[in-house]
Amino acid sequence: MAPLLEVKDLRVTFDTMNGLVKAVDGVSFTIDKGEIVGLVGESGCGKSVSQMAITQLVATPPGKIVSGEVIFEGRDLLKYHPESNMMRDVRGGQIGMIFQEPMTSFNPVFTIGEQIMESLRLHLKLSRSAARKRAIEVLEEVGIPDASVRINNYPHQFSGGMRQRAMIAMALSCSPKLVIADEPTTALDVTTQAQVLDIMMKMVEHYHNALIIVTHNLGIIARHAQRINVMYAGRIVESGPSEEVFLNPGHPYTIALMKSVPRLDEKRGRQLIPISGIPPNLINMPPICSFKPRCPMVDACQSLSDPELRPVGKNHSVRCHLNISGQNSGTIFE
Amino acid sequence: MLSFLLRRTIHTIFVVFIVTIISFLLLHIIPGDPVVRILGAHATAAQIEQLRHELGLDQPILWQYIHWIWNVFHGDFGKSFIYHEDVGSLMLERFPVTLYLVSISLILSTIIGIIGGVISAVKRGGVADSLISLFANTGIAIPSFWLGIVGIYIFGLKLGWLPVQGYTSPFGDLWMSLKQLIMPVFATSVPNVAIVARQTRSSMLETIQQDYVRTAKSKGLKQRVVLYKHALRNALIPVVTLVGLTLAFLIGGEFIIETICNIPGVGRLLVRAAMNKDYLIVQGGVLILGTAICIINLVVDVTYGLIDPRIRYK
Ligand SMILES: Nc1ncnc2c1ncn2[C@@H]1O[C@H](COP(=O)(O)OP(=O)(O)OP(=O)(O)O)[C@@H](O)[C@H]1O
Ligand SMILES: [Mg+2]
Repeated sequence: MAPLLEVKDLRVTFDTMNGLVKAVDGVSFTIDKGEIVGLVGESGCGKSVSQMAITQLVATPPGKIVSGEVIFEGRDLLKYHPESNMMRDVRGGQIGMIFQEPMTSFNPVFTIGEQIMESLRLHLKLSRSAARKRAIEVLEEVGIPDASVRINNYPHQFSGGMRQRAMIAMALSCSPKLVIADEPTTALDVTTQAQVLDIMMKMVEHYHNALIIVTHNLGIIARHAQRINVMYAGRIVESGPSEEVFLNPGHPYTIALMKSVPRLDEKRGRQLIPISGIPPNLINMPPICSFKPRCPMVDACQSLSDPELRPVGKNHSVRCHLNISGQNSGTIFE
Repeated sequence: MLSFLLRRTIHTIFVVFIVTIISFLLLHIIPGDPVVRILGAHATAAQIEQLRHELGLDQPILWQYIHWIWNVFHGDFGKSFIYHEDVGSLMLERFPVTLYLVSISLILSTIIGIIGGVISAVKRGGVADSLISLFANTGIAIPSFWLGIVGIYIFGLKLGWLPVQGYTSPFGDLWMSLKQLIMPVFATSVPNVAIVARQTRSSMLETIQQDYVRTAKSKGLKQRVVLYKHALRNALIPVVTLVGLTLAFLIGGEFIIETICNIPGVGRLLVRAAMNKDYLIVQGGVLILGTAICIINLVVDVTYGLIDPRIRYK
């Protein structure tokens, strides 16, 4: 069966004063119907840009989708003009987006209800009253109390957590086949984070939407995602079933990442080890392994070339010259 | 909303009060004696003293003010020295003319300014943007009186397309009235259009970058809906504030244009009265205009609340 979405060799650049930023540099991945895929990586590695490019929401200029294919249900979305009917039908209708900033992602001058109904009326062609009914329903589903009253509230009358619930409700309201959640809870406090993530996962599992979740929370991925993609400097450096990647990570960066972030599902007291060095500047990258300057295993690596993504196991591939996967590598440097 | 209106109204009355006090003081501080103006330079000291007493000018200044405001509350604005007419009825005659001109300028310049600013922002970097930005940047620097004089010279005297000066009531001869209106409205509007267009442009450009605009796009809305429903409404919030502020500016230009184009409005009356120290007219005019400006600012505040729910629900 063909995947729901197949991204092939996606490249996005930004023309900045300092030079051409290769924010996304040849990213390929797939997601099946109803699948949950996690996307992790340091700040600035191109996670958001790669996801925005799927629905051509990258600001152009300064951004530019240089090349690649985004095949969604058999059609290459990048062949369509960003403002074409096809593209607009996909946005919101087929692919729902949840953004990081709940505080600013709703328009302050319209009520929450109006903003949710706008999507429903556009994609499902609902009447005003039917859209209102459905909007109240989805708000109830994400756990907004008194949804029939709260629907008339403006965003500033909602707390951050409630806004993000409403955002989830809005993104899911038209039953999109794919939901892209870009760090949906990063801006919330920890307790709210857990609740909101929980709601989102329940909704997605209930409606069988496919979900790409960009997050720093590896626990969430371990618990919910079937697969994980690890990005570094505009590229995917490791991709595989999440259990496999957690147990046998094949890229030193993945290992370092796992050591550097807390996992909610883990025993307490583990020491967090920050990744040393700074993320590379995405302008004028030399043609060597981009992680080399920071790699803790650099001494073991003899190769000078830029590694390709290569398979190391079933559906598991790694962009590294070394063969560290498959030896319970998750415990390396513990 | 109601308590907001009440609060604002009380505030407005207070402000108008202060403004009349300041203008009363200013008129008494600037040199030149109205009595000498009336009687001429050859009047005897006794005559002057006599008239000062009749006009109440020998009283302490605070007392004069109280006397004036007391009469105003009873509908009596006093008598003009130069026109020998009731200040109230002088104002009443001229106020509609000024109101007519200022409203047209205000509405026209706001609409044109907003449209220009939006086009400029949406077509950023294009030819239209360059032209509008050029106009906006120069328009702010061109004073109304200069535009008025140059306009009269070119279109009135040289080309003969427009009447050189004067005013006709739109209820009398609408066509003539409009023709006479073009020059003064143009002259007072240009700086305003420029200010509004600039603000609209920058505020629209800023709004387009906002996260909620991206959200609106991600929902699949048409570009048009994203721009004119989601972005514009937010972009207008600072523009509305600005329009309230430019009103005072517009009225200043209006005074001068009325004098240049010989339009019988409050502006010309006040300029003339100020020159002759006909202080009761100036006082009355300041009171009426001050009230008008405050009322319009009140309208602006209410509009502000209508556009931005964060204000309304405070
Ligand atoms: N509008 C823009 N103009 C210039 N450069 C940009 C722009 N947007 C993104 N970039 C660059 O693209 C790169 C990738 O940015 P992106 O937002 O995708 O990072 P991210 O992985 O989502 O990070 P975070 O975890 O902080 O959200 C960054 O290095 C950034 O500098
Ligand atoms: Mg991001």
